[in-house]
Amino acid sequence: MNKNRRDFLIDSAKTIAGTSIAIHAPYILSKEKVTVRVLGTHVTLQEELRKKAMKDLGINLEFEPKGSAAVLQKAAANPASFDLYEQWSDSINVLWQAGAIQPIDIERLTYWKEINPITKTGKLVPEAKEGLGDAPYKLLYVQDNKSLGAKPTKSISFMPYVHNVDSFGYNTNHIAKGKPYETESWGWLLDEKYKGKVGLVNAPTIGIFDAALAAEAKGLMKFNDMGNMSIQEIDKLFKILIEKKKQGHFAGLWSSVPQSIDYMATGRVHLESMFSPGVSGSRGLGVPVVYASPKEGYRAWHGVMCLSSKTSGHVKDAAYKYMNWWLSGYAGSFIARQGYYISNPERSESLLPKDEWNFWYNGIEAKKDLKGTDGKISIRAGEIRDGGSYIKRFSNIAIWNTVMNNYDYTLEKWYEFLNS
Amino acid sequence: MFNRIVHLPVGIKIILGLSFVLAVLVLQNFSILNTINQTNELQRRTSKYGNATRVLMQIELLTSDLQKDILAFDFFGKKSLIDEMLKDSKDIDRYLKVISKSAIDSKNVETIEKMFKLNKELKTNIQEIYTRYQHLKQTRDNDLYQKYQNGIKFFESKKMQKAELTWVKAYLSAMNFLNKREYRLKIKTYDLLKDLKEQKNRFKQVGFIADNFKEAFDRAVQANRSYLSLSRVVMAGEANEFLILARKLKEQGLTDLIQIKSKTLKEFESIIWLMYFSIGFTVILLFGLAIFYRQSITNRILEITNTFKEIMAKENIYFKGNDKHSDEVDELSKAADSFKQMALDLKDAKKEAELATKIKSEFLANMSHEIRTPMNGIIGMISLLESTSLDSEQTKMLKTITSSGNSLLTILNDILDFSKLEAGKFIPENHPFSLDNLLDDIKFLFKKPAIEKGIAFNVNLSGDVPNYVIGDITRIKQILINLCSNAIKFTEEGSVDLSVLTRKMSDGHYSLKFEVRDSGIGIEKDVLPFLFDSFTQADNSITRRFGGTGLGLSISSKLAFAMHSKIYVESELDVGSCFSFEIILEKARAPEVKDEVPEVLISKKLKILVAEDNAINVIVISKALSALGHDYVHVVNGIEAVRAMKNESFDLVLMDMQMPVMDGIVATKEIRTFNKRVPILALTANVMPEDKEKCLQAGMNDFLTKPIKLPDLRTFIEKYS
Repeated sequence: MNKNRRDFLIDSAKTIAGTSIAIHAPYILSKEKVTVRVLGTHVTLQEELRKKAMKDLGINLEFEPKGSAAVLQKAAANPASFDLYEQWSDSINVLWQAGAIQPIDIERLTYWKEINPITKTGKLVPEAKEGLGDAPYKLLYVQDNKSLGAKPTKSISFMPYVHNVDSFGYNTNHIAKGKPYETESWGWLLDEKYKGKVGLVNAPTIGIFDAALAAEAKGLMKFNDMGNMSIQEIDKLFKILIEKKKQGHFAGLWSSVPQSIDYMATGRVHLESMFSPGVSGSRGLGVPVVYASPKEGYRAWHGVMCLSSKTSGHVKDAAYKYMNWWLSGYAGSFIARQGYYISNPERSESLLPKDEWNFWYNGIEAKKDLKGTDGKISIRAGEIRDGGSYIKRFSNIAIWNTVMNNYDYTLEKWYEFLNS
Repeated sequence: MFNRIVHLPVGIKIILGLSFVLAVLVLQNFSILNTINQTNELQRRTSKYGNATRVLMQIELLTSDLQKDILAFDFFGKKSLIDEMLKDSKDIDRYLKVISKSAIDSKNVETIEKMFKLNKELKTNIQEIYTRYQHLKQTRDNDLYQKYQNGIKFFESKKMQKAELTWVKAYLSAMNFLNKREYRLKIKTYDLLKDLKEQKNRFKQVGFIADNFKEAFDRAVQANRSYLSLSRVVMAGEANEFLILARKLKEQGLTDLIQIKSKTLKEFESIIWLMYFSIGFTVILLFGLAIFYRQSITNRILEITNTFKEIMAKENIYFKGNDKHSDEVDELSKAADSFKQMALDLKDAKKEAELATKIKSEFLANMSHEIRTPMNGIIGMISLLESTSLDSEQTKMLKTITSSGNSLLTILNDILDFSKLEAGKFIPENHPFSLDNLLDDIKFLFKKPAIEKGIAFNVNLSGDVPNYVIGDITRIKQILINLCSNAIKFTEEGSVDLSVLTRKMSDGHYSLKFEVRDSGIGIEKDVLPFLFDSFTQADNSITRRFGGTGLGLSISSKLAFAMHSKIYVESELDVGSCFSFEIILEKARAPEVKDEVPEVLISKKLKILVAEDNAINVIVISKALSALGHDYVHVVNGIEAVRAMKNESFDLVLMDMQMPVMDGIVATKEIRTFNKRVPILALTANVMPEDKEKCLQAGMNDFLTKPIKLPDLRTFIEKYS
C-alpha cells in the first residue's frame, strides 16, 4: 500500500465531517486505566469516536493517525509501537507476513455473528458480483498452516468493520447526467470528449484500477485478471495512459480529498476518480457532482482492525473491548452519516432516525434535510444516494483495492506515467 | 434655457463659457491621465509578470533539480542529497514568498497557497524518504544479507554445493529485484527458494533457512515499496502538481497581461477617439462661444458705437433695446439712449444759448452802430469846432466834451470788441510790426497819465530781440493798453513796469513774454478766479470809483486766447499785481519804408463823390472835406451815385454802405461795370469782417469806419488819390 488514505482523508475529516482533534482538550492520562494505542488513518481515528469509546469503556485511548504508507511501515517494522492497527484490507498480507499482527480470536468478538457475508464470503447477497482482486474474505481466516485464506477457522487476521465502494464523480454542469448502472461507465474517464478535463487519483493501488476499468470499458484492452495484472498487461495499460497523458487528456492527479474537491470546484476537471467525502465536499461548495454508478461495477475497499503481535494482557483485553465497541452500534451510526458502511449495520439501525437509515442504507429519497456528524446539513430533502442502497451498491463490485503481485512494477510505471 | 443664458450678465456668460471649455479640457486631461495610468499599470504588470516569470522559472528549475536529486538518492542514498533537496525546498519557499508578494489576483493567491502547501508536504516527505531509505537499507543490506550469510555458512559447512548454488541464485535474484528493479525476479526468487526447499537433502534446517530468507525478502520488498511509493508516487506527484501549478501561474499571468494589454490598447484607441472628438468639440465650442459672444456682446457694442457715431449726425436714431438680452450691454445701450437724449437736450440748449448770444451780440453791434452814427456827428463837429476861434472858457468846455466823447467811444469800441469776440467773429490779423515801435507807442501813451498820478512807468525790453515779427499788433497793443491802464488806474504810489522778455525758440519762432507789474492795491484771492469773466471787477464799487465797462480784462483774455495765449495773474492785496502773457510769433523781414511816403506827398485838390443818406454824416463829411481843401458832390442813394459817376468824372468816391433805394454794395458793383479805375472807399458803422469782405468783393478799395475823424479821412484820401 502506498499513497495513504490518510492523505486523501486527512482534511476531509475536518472539511466534511467538521471534526478537529485540535479543538478538543487533551486527554489526561490516568494510571489506573488501561491505555490502548491505536495506529491508523483519519477515516476511523476520529476524536468523537475516541471520546465516546473512552467514556463507554472506561479505558484510555491514544490515537496516532498517519498516512497509509507510514502507518504500514511503522506497524510492519515495529509492532511494539501500537496495540491496534486500523487500515485497509490490502495491507493485511504485509503485516501478516511481517509478523506484526496476531490472530484475533473470533470467540472474543461479541458481534461476530452479526457481521455480514461481504467479508465472510465476499458476497452480500448470493446474486452479487464478487469483484476481482483481493476480496477481504480471501485474507480473513488464519489457516492452520499460519497462512491467510477464505476457509473459516476460529481466528481471523482482522476484524471487519468500515467499508465502502468508490467510483468517479462528474459535474453535471458539463456532463449530462447518465443512468446509474446503465449508461454511467468507467469508460468516460478515457473518453475523447472529456479530453483535458479528467482527473485521476495519484495512487497506483487505486488509480490503476480506475484506469484499467476505463481502458477495458472503452475496449482499448482486455485483462486476463485485472486484480492481478501481468507485466505485459501493465505495460499495455500504461502505454495507453501515457499516450493519453501526452495528448493532454489528464488535467491532474490528485493526492488528497481536498485537492480532488479543488479540482472539481475550480473547473480544472469535469470528471475524476473520487472518494465519497470528496463528492459531498464538492456538493457542499455548490458543484453538482454525481457519484457515478458505473455499469462495470464499483471499486470497493474494506477497513481492517488488527491486533499487534506484541500486545497482551490487560491491554489486549482492552483492545478487544474497543473492537467490540466499534461493532456495538454507535460507531456504525456515526460513520453512516459520513457515508461509510459498517459490517453489522443492523445494530446501528436502531440508533439512526428512520429517514437517515433509509437514505444511507436503503437508497431511499431523504424526506427532510439530513445533518452530518458536524451538525450541518449534508443531505437535502429529496436527494437519493447515488447508486442506491447498500445491497445494490455492494452487489456491483468490479474490483477490490488490491496490492498486486506486480505492484512493484506498477510503481515504476506509475512514475513513468506521472512524468510523461 | 438658451434664453436664460442670453439674459445672464456678460461676466457670468464669459465665466460660464470659459468654465465649460475648462470642464472639457479637464475631462480631456483626466482621460489622458487615466490612460497614462493604465499604461503605467500595464508597464508595472508587465515588469511584475517578467519578474514573476523569472522567479517561476527558478522554481521550476529547482523542482526539476529536486526530482533529479530524488532519483540520485535512489541510487546513492547519500544524506548530502537529502540536504540538497531540503535546500531546494527552502529556496522554492523563498521564491514563492517573492511571487506571493506580487500576486494580485485572488486566483493566483490561491494557486500560490496551494504551492506553499505542496512544498511543505514535499519538505516533510524529503525528511520521511530518508527514514524509509534507511529502513530499506536495513532490511535489504543488513537483514537479508545476514539471512543469506547464514545460509551460505550452513550450506558450506554441510558441503551442499547444489543447494548453495541455488541459494546464491536466489539471493542474487532477490538483490537484483530490489536493487535493479528487475520485477520478474521476485517470482524467480520465490521459485528458487521453493526449489531449494524441495531439493532432496538431509537437513530440515534448509526449509527453515529458506522461510527466514523469504520473510526477510518480503520485508525488504515491503520496505522497497514503502520507499518507492513515497519517492516515485507521492513526491513525484507533488513535484508534478507543483510544476502544473507553476505553469498555470505563468499562463494566468500571461493571460492577465494579454487581457490588460488588449484592454489598455482598447482604452488607448477609445481615448484617441475621445481626444479627436474632444479637440473637435473644443474647437466647435470655442467657435460657438466666439459667435455667441460676438452676437451677444461685440456686435451689440459695435452697434452702440455706430449709433454713437450716427447720433452726432442724425437725431432720430436710438439704440435698439433688445428683448433678447438683458445684460450689461443692454444696460449700456439704455444708458447710451439716455446719454444721447441728454446730448440732444444739451445740443438744443447750446443752440438756444448760442442763438441768444448771437442775438445779444447782434443787438450790441447794432446798438453800437446806431450810437456811433450820431457820435460820428458829435466827434466830427467837435474836431471842426476845435479849428475855430474860441475863448478860453469855450476851449475848456470843448475839451470836456472831447474827453467825454472819447470815453463814450472807448466804451462803444469795448462793447463792439466784446460782441465780436463773443460771436466768434474775431480773427487775428498777421502783419509784420516792430516791437520797438509798439513799446514806444505804449510808453508814449502812458507816460503822461503816470506822471500825473505821481508814479513811475517803466518799459523794459530784454532778450534776443528781433527787429520785426509777424502778428496782430493792434490786438497785442489793445491787451497791453488794457493791462497798463488798469495798472496805472489801481496804483496810487510806486510804479508800473512793463517788461518784455523775448526768447528765440528751437523752431525759429520767438516767444514774447509780456509782463505788467504794479505796486497797486492788489486783488483779493477769492476774486481771482472770476477776474476774466465778463462784467467783473474785483469790487463793484471799483467801476463806480475808477470807471470802465468792466469788459477790459475779459476782452484782453479772449484776445490772448484767440492768439493761442493765456493771461496769468499773480496778486497780493496791498502789495501789487502782475499780469502776464506769452505769445509765439514768427520773425519778419523789415517792411519797405514807403509808409512814410504819404507824409511827403503834396496834397492836391480833388473832386470827391459822397454817397450818404444821413444828413449829420453828410455835414460832418462835407465839413471835413472842406477843411481838407477838396471839392465834393453829394448824393443820397446808390442810383444817384451811379448816375453821377456816369455824368461826371471824380477822383474818389466815399460810399455809405446802408442807403435807401440802392445800397453802397450794389451801387459799387454797377459803377465797376463802367469804371474800374476810380477808388471807392466805403463809409460804414458796420465794422464786422464780413462787411469788409462784402465791400472788397463788390469792388471797393477800402473802408472807413464811422464816426469819421478828420485825421483818418485825410490819411485815406491821400492813400487813394
